[in-house]
Amino acid sequence: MLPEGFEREIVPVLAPRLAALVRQAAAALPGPLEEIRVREGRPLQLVYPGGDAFITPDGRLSADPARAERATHDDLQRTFQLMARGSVYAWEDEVRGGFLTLEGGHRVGLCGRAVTEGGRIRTLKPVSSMNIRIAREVPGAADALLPQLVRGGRFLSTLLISPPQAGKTTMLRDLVRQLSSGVPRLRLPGLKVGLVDERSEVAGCYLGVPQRDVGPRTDVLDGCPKAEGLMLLIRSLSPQVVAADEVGRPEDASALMEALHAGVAVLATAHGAGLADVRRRPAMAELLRVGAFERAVLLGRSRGPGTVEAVTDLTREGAA
Amino acid sequence: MTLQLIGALLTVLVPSWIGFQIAARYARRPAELRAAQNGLAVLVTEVEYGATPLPDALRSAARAAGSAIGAMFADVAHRLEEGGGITPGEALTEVVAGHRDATCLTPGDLETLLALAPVLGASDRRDQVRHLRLAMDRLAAAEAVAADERRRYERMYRYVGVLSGLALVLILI
Repeated sequence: MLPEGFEREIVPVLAPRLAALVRQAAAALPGPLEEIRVREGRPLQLVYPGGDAFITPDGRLSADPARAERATHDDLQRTFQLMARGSVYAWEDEVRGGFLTLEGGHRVGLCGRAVTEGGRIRTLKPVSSMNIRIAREVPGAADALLPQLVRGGRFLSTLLISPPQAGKTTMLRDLVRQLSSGVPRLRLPGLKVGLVDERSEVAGCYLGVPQRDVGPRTDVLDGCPKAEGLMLLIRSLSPQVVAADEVGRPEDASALMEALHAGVAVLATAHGAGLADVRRRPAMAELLRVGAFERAVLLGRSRGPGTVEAVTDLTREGAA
Repeated sequence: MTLQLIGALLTVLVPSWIGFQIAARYARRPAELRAAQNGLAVLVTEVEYGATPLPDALRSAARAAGSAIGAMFADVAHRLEEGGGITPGEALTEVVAGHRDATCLTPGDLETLLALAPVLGASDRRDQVRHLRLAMDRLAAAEAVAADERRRYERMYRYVGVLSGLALVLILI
């Protein structure tokens, strides 16, 4: 199945040859298109929930990589340049971080030869492998969860814990949207939300403008390191809730502490298979110990991505 | 008699006009080379400090470069915005070929601009700036030569035009 916005958002950034192949092949996929994988000299691959398929030279799907069409050097370079809108230099930091964000909030993971300087990546050149992840908005993903995170019209600081690919970012986005819009049935007024979107994953900003619906009262600090961004938001944008994806480093924790002291509710996500995993990180353990979070939500894939496996009331757990 | 006068006038005017045209080309080339450098200088600033996307950066450069050369920058920007899977390098190559006759630049000058095609927009900031500066240096060198040629030939071709017109009249009388 072709995703919505495919012609407008995906086709213009693919080399025309690839666009034609992907359009034809993706239409025949049994599920919604999740990823387009292009690797130089290797078979073109499409990924959908629950499986993948290769594209044959005549644009059909095949399970056999040996029969698949291969991406050429020109395919990759052209696609890369189109994605960067002919301005690779303008996305230098993103490329260094191994990704680009497209209009529409789709994300492209990049891989290739790393040019290093002083032990750090300066750029990737040439880019020899890319993963185009089709963004799908799931409004209402947090419908079932949100009532458990609100008490007396107040949003409780929440930590979303999830293994990769379990819908952590989607859940965070929808929570932000609903908090920002307000939820009358929970008597939750619309809150000012400050979102630090370090990897442009949550709001899918293109040139600083959110491409995904993150609510009317949300300020997005795009492409900014979390710790610094959280401080900036708290100091100057008077948020009632601050949100950040994938916290875990010590400096993130101290910034979140600052939010806590400022009386700002916190919504954050962390990688892990459970609360115990998160506690193993010293910075996070400290945050949990001082009661920075009132709720911990464990996400999983047991009933598809975004399944809420457990909600823990951290205020009742005591100082454990 | 009147007819003869008109004929004589035309005989003077036409070669003069040709002479002035050739002279004007010598006068315009240094100006265009300067304009191209101004455009590239703006492009360097946009790329280095603004990290402005290429089409916007090219439009700023076009404004700085004035008519003939500015039209080239603007045309590259236009082609990029039209899309169709074209890279900045391909757009530049097409535009240089298309504008060849609208400028007074020599094939060598255009070659300097074409040398940017494989790198335009395709690498990080530092690399872009390095290539743009290199092109500016080469254009500056060409400008010095062009200014010298202008000094030597501009007036000469005007005189040659007028004088050959007069000579023709004398021969024909």
